[in-house]
Amino acid sequence: MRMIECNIMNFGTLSDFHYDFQHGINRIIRGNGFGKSTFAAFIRVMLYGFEGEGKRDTLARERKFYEPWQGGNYGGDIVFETAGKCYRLTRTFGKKADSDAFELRDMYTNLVSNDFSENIGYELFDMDSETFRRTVFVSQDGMETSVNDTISGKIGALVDNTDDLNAFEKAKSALDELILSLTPRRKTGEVSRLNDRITALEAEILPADRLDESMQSLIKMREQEEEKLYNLKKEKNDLTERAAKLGKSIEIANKKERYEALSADLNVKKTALDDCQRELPEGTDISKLPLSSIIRGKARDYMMAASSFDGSKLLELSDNEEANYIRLCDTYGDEDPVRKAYEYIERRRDLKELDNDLHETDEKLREINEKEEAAKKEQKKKSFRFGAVCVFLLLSNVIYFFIDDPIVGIADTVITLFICLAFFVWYHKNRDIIVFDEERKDILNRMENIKKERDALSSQICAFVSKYGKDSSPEMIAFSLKEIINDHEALINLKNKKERAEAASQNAHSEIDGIMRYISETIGTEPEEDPYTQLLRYADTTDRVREALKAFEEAQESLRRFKEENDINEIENSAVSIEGSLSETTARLSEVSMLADESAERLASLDRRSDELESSLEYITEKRAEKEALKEERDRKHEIYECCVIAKDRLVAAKENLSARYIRPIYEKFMYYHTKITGDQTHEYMVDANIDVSVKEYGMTHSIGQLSRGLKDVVGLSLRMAFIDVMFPEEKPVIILDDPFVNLDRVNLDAAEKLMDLIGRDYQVIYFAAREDSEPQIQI
Amino acid sequence: MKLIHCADIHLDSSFSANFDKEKARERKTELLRTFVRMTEYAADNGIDAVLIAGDLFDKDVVSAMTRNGVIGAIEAARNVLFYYLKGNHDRKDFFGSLSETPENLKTFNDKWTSYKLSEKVTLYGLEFNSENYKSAADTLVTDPSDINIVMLHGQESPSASDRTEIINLKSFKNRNIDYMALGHVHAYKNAVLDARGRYCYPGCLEGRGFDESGEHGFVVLDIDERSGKIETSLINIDSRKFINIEADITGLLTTRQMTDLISGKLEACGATAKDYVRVVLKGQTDVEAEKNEKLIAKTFEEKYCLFRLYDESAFSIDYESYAADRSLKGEFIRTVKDDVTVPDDKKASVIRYGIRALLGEDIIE
Repeated sequence: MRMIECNIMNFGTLSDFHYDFQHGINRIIRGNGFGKSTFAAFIRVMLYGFEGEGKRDTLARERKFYEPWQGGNYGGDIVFETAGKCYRLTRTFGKKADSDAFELRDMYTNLVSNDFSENIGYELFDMDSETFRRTVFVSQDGMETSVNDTISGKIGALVDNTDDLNAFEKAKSALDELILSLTPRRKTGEVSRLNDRITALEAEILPADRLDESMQSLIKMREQEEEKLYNLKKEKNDLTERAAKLGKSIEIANKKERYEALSADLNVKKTALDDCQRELPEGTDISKLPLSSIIRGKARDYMMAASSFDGSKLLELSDNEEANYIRLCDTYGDEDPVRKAYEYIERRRDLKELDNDLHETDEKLREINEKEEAAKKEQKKKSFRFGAVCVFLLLSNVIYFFIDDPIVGIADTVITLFICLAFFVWYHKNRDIIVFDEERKDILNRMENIKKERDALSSQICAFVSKYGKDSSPEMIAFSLKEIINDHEALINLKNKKERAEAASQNAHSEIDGIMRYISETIGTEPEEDPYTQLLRYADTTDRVREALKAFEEAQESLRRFKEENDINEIENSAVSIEGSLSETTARLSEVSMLADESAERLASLDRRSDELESSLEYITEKRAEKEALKEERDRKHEIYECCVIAKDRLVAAKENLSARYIRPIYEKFMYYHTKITGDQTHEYMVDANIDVSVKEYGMTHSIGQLSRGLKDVVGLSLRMAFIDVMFPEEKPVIILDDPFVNLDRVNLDAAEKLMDLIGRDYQVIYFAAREDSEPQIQI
Repeated sequence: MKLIHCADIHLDSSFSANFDKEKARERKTELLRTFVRMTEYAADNGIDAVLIAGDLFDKDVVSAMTRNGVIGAIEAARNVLFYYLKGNHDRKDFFGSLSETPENLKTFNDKWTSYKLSEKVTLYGLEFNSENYKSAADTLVTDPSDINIVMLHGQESPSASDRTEIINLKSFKNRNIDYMALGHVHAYKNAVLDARGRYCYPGCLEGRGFDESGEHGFVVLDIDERSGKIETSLINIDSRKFINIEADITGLLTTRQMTDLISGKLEACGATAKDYVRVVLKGQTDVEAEKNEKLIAKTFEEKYCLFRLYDESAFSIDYESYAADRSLKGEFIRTVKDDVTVPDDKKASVIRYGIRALLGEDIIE
């Protein structure tokens, strides 16, 4: 790569600045304040952009630092050639990165080129800004350098893949971190922690042996107890069997006895039944025997019938009664005169009333006659008075007629006539006298009727009484009527008595006949003289037969059931004879059962203890399993740990081996440039695999930091040139040196100047210095 | 007549080898529950008898839960007879030590004991000890006209052995045996004994670890008493399965490829969410392969009741391909390869860790 020209529009102190670069060394020697460092920075910024964009400090933030003092946009262009092509790189910068502008034009076509992007520095040199500063760009007081991963990668051009070389540090750190997390050497290491946990578990498991012993002891005790229980159970079974046999033998004997007793009982019952049966008439079917209660009932019926028959005789009529009964029957026959007699007794009261009525009517007739007489007298008195009035009037009329006024006399006469006429009418129409006549007529008629009725009734009663031979005289008529009633009542009573006596006698006869038929037909024997006793005796006999039959049937049923429930052959043929007493056997059985129960309880207790122990052993087993799992984990982790330790060591070794292959060229180049500057070959420098340079003096290795500033710059320049030579074997980069030799003494400065000429043969060098004749600083 | 033949139930197993405390307890309960389900199956399916050919319990001490569970289950199936022959794991006399032995439970001892299961079917059983195991076959007397079932607990062997739990099958041939109900082997096996009979191991009811993977259950014998024909079928009753697979990841370069391979294998063997799964990675992967065991484990832990991943695979490295590699990685690989102080079996791991560090990836997954 070669710079051809540069135009700075505005950048820091520089404005409208143009510079044409030459091949080889370009010495730009200017006084302080010219802007040499700004120029150098411009080239760097054009390639890599500003640094420190995010920083607050204005000095650290290059964009602000190089902002033109007069303000406005700033930037410029650089014309350069690389890989046989020429480009113009133009950049303008604003306040912020997003207002920056970038343009690349192909100088031959003058067209915008996309061969490089804004990241042109990295693309041109295959290194980042930081590596750029460590190699081809040397700022003031920035001569010292050291290797980074990019430099390592680039100087190891012999390396196929520099990515893993670059990742070495990270890989080493990761392995270190893993090793540290796993290490068994520290308490915090996982293997160590696992070991601790395993140790703790082993401590927990330690009592397992004792538990095992306890368990074994328990098992032994259990076995002994089991054996004991087994023997007890065996004895118990033997005893149970023996007791069962004894029991069976006794049971059979008892059954035999019972069987014999039942058989004997059946015979006794049979004999008793036969004896009873003999008391019955021959051929009697005992299954059809009448109930004794019925027979006794019949006996009672007979007794009552006999009593009724006797009683019926007492009911018969006496001779007097019989004579009276016949007389009354003759008098009255079937007639019933009682109602008529009572009627006539009642009617006799009517007769009296009729007499009273007649008497009253007679009284009334007399009263009427008296009233009529009085009325007639009154009428005469009134007629006389009226006649007098009429005469008076008549006279008055005549007077009027003749004296006063004829007309008035006439009128008065008319009135008088009218009054006379009225009197005449009144007199002939008098009602009182008429009523008296009618009443008298009625009374007389009624009296006639009463008399007729009384006479008729009296005749009837007399005829009635006379019919039954009674006295019909008026003074006896009432007595006669009562006598008729009494007679008839007596007849009825006698008649009823006679009928009852006959009915009772007839019923008793009928009942007795029935019972007699019952005796002969049902019992099957002739009635005896005393059927009552005969029936009671027969009832007793049937009771006995029935009881005997029942007893016999029960005995038969008992025997049948016994035969059904028991093996009769076994009972009849049994001849079992077991020695020993059942009570002794059962007593021993009870004792053995108790011992067996105690033993079983002890076994249960042992089981409970073994359950507890088992639980503890299970816990131990779990812990053992956990321990084994942890051991496996520990071994696995330890294996990983060991492998990682080996991996790290071998990775470092590989890195060193790889580095060793490019240390030699670096070392040789370093010594070449160092000797060129200093001419000193007395110092023995060493470059290690990490490209760290150290110096050996008096047998001791010292770091470069212990050298003087001048020598440190010489070492730095030599190392940079070694890096550049090795890193860029093909196309050489531009080397920019911003007043780098201020710390060199005159001798070394001259040598360095000469070295620049030498370098300029292979590289384009842009070398900034303060003044050509400027005195170098004296190193202390 | 129908019988159930089961064995090696190992109730009260601790399960501590594969499970944490909580899961072990759960599994222990499941095992007891499976035994109870078998007794319920017997009661509900017209089974006449259950033959337990040893190792009903896992150890001498039986927990109260198991003791009560077993007795309760046997008593509940009151119409089924249980014939229990002790195995090498069983306590001397578990039922003998009980105050009340269930009425429907029959046991055996160190002498041949026979039970008439029906007019035609006879069951013989003998508990082995150091004195009787050699002469066991010689002392067995059977009726040729009967259907004879012989129950024993021991490891089948074609020849005699000094070990107590060995059953010399040869000695039991031609002894009128129709079916040998055996116990001790935890996997199902049904094979020909002789011209007349067969012998069968039903395996355990439930797997107890990844060494007992596959399906488990009991054998149902359907006996035609007229013809003497015995038909057997294995009834799977296990609540979960232990599934053990190996995944050869040779040539695979990514975790995704590895999980796909494992998924395919688990799907092929019918693994379900309730199962216990163990996957062993085998083969060799390149040192630069991306293999994240945690991610693999996490992927399957979410899918199965229990997932264990064991990486027995190794890293492989083709040193030749790095011979001319002038990068730091190449230099590193050559450095490790040529370092005689690094054991050969560690070199691949060392290289893998170094490369992962250089690539800026997690050194261990």
